[in-house]
Amino acid sequence: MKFNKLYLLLLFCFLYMPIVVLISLSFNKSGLPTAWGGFSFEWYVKLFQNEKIFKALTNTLIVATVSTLIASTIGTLLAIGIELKKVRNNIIEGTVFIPMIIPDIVMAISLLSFFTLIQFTLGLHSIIISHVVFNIAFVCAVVRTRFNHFDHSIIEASYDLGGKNIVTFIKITLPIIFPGVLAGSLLAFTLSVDEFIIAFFTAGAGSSSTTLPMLIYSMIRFGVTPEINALSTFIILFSFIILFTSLRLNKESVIS
Amino acid sequence: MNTLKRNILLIPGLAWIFIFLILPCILIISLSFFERGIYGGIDYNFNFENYSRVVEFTYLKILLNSSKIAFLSGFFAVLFGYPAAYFIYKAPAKYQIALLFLVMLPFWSNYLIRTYAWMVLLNNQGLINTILINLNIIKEPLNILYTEFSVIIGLIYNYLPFVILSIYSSVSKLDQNLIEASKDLGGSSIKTFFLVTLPLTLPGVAAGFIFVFVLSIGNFITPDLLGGGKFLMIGNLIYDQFLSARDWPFGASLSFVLISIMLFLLFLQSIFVRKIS
Amino acid sequence: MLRISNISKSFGVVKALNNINLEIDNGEFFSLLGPSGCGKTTLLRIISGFELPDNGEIILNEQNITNTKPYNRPTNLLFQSYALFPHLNVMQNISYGLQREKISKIEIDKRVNAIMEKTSLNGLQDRKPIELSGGQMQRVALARCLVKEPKILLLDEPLSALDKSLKEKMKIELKKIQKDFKTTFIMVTHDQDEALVLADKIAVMDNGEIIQVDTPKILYSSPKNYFVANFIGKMNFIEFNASNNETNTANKKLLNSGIIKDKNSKNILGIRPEDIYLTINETLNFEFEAEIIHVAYHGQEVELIAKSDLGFGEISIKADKSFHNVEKNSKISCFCNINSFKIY
Repeated sequence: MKFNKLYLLLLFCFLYMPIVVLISLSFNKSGLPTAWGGFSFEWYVKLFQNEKIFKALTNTLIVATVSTLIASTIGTLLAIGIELKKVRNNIIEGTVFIPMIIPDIVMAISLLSFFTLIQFTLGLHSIIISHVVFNIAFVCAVVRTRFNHFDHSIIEASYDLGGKNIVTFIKITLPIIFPGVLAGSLLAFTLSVDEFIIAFFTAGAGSSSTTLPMLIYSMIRFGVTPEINALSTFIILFSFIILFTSLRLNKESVIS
Repeated sequence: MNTLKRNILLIPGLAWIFIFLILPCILIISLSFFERGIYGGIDYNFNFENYSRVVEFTYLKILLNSSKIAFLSGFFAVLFGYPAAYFIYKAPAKYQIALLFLVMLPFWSNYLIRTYAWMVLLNNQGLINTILINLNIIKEPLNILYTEFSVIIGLIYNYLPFVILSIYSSVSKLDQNLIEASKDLGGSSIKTFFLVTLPLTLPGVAAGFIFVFVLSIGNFITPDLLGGGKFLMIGNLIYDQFLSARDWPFGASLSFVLISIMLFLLFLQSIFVRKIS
Repeated sequence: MLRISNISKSFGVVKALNNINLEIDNGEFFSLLGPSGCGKTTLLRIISGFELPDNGEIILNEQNITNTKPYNRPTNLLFQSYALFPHLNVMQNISYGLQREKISKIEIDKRVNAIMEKTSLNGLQDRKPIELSGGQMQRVALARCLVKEPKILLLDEPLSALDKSLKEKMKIELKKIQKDFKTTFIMVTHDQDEALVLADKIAVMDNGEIIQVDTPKILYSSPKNYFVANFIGKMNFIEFNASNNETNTANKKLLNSGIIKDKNSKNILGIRPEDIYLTINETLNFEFEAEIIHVAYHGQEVELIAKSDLGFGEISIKADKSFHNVEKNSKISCFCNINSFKIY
């Protein structure tokens, strides 16, 4: 038993060490990973003065929000459509599976080639279109699980009691699967906020549609600025808050 | 609801995926049979030149190296992940969900940031080297960053939570009666583990391994940041063909090879799962 | 009256229903009884409109409802899982069906309150389904259907989700509610006990066909064939195969007694355990010997498992508790009336 505990302890050290180091460095006055120069909020102040970051953050939020809204609508319909089919259709299942497994880099270059070929202007909108592709798949997967985990005679009961298709969908099906739709949307939102390589390829030239991950990448790749630790701390906190919210929602839906 | 109405629900989603993923993929596959124009454009001249280049020594080496790194990442992720999943399962029931949650939590932060954190840790002046030097274990800093080793650490770190989750779900589905039956029939704990528990949880192990392998072999960010931007893996090579070398057809053929490897592996896994269940 | 005529239904190559004909009177408590896979649930789903038959018609009170959508049918279905809407409370669950009709809110409230009174659900109106016990869930499901005042209430294995003691209680309650509302009930079950206790009439089904339709009493006393005899109640079966063994004493005995009339026939004889007596009286005109193999103690009474001299196989005999310490391998004399034997 002691060995079990020790092993898990080491595992959690491995998993959390990088995060803890980043967060503590964000308060390091010297800004260097090697020397502790005292506690300071200096980098946070610098972060808030950096307009590039705010522009990138705005872009990221636009991309994530719009692509999540589109994908959760389309993905939910897709999930219901698939689950209502009595026989499994392997072509449809496969099509919906592809966006989840295809390597980001391949999807990125395919979309770039495609947009170039049809002479589509690149910008935030092309990032949104691209993010919707994989978000549909993830929303669909989450909603499908939810849809599979309730007794489908509930839907039949509604028909039986006089509820026609649309009434049944709005009054019964949607409220029941809604926690799944919400959880799927939060997942989609997080994925979209985090996504780098596809955005990088489909953003087009110029810095007007730079997203936060793109900015972070260039900060990491071309000279580390200590502000990035502060930014990382913010992003980590933000992601954890989203995760807690989504778990809370799911828990409540299980109880009610 | 009748079939027609049901199918209407499918149309927007399938159409979106078809237009913005399947079509571009078909385009990439067809590009791979053309060649690079003199100024970086595409010459529509059908041939298999790109594929014979893929098997040239320089590129084949990168392909094999990618497979090696992906394999090692998968292997070690499973090796370290299995005991973790097993011990979490053995923990008191009320702690299990919390432990799993703690395992998954780091994954929810940004991938770039997690990878960057390892750059900070493994740096020549990074935390690990500083500690080792201060403890007088080493005199000169170890060159860990920008090696295959650091890439593998980064990949394991990023995908370990999934491996643990996948194995845990396999272990927790195990029928406890089988284990008790084995012990009852005289199997020691160790024998029971190797003869009953491990074989029955192999699907979870396989799923975890394939998951890490597939995500690693096509990875771009980790080899780029932790590998120092050398052509360590096929993802970086593809990136370079599109952004620096401007040889799209060759990048396309590399992508096609990459997808084929992945599909083949997923196919193997589905056969494996079907055989076991 | 509900008339089901020539209904057939196949799923792929599996024939679920084969030319079903039934007539069910208004106000009747009717039961479809059969083993799992016999097609009873498919028939129920065709009556409720969730499946369309391949051919045949469903006529309710002279009106053809074969192709009417479930939401337009004057039938309601009590689901096996109850299928309560998990996000709505008891009150909202019960009023859901009425809100789909053009009925004023006052009228809805009146009817919902009345039905809650009748099904003793008062005080539970704000509870969510998850906060209800099994019995309460069933009563809500029942109220949700009955408040619509359906012409026919269809019940899919209504008692299967309840534990034994609650099952007994709900049986009585179901019967009472059916009498109160005078609604036609059609209940699907695989439990012969439920069907015998509750139904006015039972249709026994097997392999997509209806084998026998009768009142519980007739069904029990004169099962039409071996399948029904075997399925309903307990029955001992003795094989008579004359061609096998002419000189077999057991066969001779059956022939001489006149139970078997044609000595060349190949028959199965059936007799209920309670029709075998261990003491003689003047109505009993047939005697045979049996050797006790096992005594099963049931509390009130004792079941003797014995090997009779009438043929192969073990038979079961009902006895009073004075027999509970009868010795194994001891021989006993059994008496019965030759008319108690059913011949298949």
